[in-house]
Amino acid sequence: MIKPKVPVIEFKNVRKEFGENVAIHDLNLAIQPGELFVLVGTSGSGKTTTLKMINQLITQTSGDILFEGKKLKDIDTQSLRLDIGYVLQQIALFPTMTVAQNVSVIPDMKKMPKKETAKIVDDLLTQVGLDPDEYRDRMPDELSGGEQQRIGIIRAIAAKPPVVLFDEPFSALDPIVRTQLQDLVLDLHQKMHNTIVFVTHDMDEALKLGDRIGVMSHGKLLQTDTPENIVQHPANQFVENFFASSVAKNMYETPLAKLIKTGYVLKTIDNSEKAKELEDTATLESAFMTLAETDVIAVMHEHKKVGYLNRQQVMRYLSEVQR
Amino acid sequence: MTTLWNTFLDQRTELLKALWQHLQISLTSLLIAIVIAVPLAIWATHHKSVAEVLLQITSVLQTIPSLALLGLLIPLVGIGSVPAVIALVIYALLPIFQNTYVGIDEIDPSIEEAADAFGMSRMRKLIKVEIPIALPVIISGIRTALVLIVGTATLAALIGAGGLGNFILLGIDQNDTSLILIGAITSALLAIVLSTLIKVLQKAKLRTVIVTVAVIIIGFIGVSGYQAAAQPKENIIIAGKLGSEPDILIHMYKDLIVQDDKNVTVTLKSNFGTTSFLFNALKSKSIDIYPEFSGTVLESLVKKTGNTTNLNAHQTYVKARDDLKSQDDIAYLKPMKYQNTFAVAVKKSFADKYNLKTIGDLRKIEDKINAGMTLEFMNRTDGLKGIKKKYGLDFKVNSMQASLRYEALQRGNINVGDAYSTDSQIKQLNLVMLKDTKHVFPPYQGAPIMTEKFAASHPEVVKSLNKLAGKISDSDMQEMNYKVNVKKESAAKVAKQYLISHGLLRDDK
Repeated sequence: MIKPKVPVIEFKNVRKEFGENVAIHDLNLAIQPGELFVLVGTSGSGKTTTLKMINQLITQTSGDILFEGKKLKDIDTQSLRLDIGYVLQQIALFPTMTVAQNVSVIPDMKKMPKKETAKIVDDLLTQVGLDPDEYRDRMPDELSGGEQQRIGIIRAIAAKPPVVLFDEPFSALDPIVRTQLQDLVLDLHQKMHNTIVFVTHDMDEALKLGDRIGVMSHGKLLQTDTPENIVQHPANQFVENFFASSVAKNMYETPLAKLIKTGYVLKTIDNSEKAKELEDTATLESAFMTLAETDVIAVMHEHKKVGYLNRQQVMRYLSEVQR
Repeated sequence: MTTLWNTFLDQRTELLKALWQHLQISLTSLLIAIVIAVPLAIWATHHKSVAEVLLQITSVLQTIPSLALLGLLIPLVGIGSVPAVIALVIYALLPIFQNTYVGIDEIDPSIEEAADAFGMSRMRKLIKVEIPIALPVIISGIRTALVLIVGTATLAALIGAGGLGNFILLGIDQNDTSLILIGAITSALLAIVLSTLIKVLQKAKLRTVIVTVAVIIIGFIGVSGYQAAAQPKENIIIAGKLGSEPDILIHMYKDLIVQDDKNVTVTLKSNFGTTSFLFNALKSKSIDIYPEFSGTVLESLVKKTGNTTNLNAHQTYVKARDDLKSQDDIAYLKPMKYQNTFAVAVKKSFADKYNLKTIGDLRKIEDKINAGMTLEFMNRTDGLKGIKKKYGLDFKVNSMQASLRYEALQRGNINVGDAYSTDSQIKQLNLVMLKDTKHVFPPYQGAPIMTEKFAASHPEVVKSLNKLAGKISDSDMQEMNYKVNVKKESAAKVAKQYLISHGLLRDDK
């Protein structure tokens, strides 16, 4: 018998009011260990408020929030925060500290040995593709936006916290850098097996990153499910429209990875031997061109076959998401 | 330019001393202001409503004219360095408080949020994040305060705290541009040097900054401590009003006292201020002795009792002595010979042209008179007010600073001025004193005054000072003033010469 896991974070009947306004109505949500959970919604939906209640930057008006089964009320806020990484939209590197000092902030507070911290800093810089010898002693204002947010991310995970919160971390970055950093988050998540709660207003980003997605609107959690179910079985009109609107504006540029995530790529297919290979980073546009000549596409992820696409599946995707 | 250089060479020891005093007052004030304003501002960033009030208060404090502030502090804390430092601290509070507050308050809220979210305590956040970010703004506030302090500290000379302001005051009084320039330039240079030092330190490593500040503080305490320790127990402080005459007199006092009692030291505070200021300093025991005129005592220092008009010199002195003793418990020693009194002076050519011999003669030419007089003279009943009343005169008067008035007389900008009968300029500029036939001007005799308590506990000092009783004639005094004001001889030298030539001081050479 599999013992049911204790959720890392659990909201129980949580309500938050700002003066007259009710920001969160009655939130019930459990986030499992090792999960990459994405909260998505428009501005004012309550997603950031929900996120900030986890590390108590915002305290709930009523209800309970549990961290590893313990009520936050019973945990010292400062030590709680040392166990929760935080990545901000504004990046907010400390401008008077070097890159290395920024990354060492939490290890220092945890009184980790200097030598060990220095090694962690170098390892993490290498992992995010920045040469430690070149970047260690730079000041934040000497970095590009993308480089800064890489530092922002490794600053949050330097002390290996069990939970990392991302508050719309890439919305201010240009699309290419955004894609790179999304891949970086997936990569780091895979290596570190930590729990991530990620807030975004970008449905594409949510679909790409999320193991599970929570769609929020006007302070209510409308649906919590896998990307596939969110897209194929939306709980209501709002969820469906929200996803459709994200598709409409960039249909041709949709990467095949999105079709995998949303369940339109088939695991097996009859005439698989004739399939032409396409990377999952390729767009629908190139899929159209390929399917004009061949019947089946084998979708590759890092040189491994992950599934198949034919004209029928593509048409299904287009018709369903455009409803 | 050559004069400036010569004056500089003459005064360099004095200048160094003044510079040190100036530096002491300025840096002490700055340190105190930092210690008060920075923590207060940090606290205020967490109490926004209080911060507004504090900003208002510091702004209001800043608008009080510095002179008024110094004046207001005298009755509370007396004179000298203490009120000067208090006043300067009050001025320095605003820029430091404001910049610290703004520097921290304007930190990007997302950075504050990051610091909180990483679990920093309030103190850690302050030290690791907030202060480093706000530091450039805080430092620029400190630099503003410093420049303000060094400049305003020149006014400290007015309340006896010394410093470079002494040069400026003395220069104005003696109409010596070189002295004014030396005081002003040195003070400006000091501000620039200190401000640059702070700028350099701002960029230096934290350790260098801490070491430098520590060295400065320790050096300060060391030198001040050495000075304090080096002072023997008995130190008598003698002060004099602004001008050459009091300066010469107090040097004589010093020579006489030290000659008779080797165990005391005497500190002189030359050009220490105006009448009421010195009198208050004496009463509050900030100083021990200063020379004062009998007429001034009756006119300005004691409450008027009985008849004070038409007294002769001796009667004036006796009444002054008795009133001082009964009203303020102050001893007035025996007076010197010379009588210094107010006079109305004109150029000899002017007197000859209109045949002027007495003050009353001015009536004939009232419409031609363009007078320039000191404020003190104009406001005294035994000065201009008395003249106008007793002689029935009415003419136009401009108020002028004492030495400017002489220059204006010489140049013909004015044709009638007030004067002291012992002023060297009377001789130098060939002026004629008009006779006071109606005895409006009281005859003034000078003598040392001190508290009765001091006189009682220092009989040897009283004995030494009384050696001057009946000495120094009008012409002696005029001659000595001439040497100091015109020939630029030092007051100390002139005083010594007189004492030696009159057998009051042994010639050690």
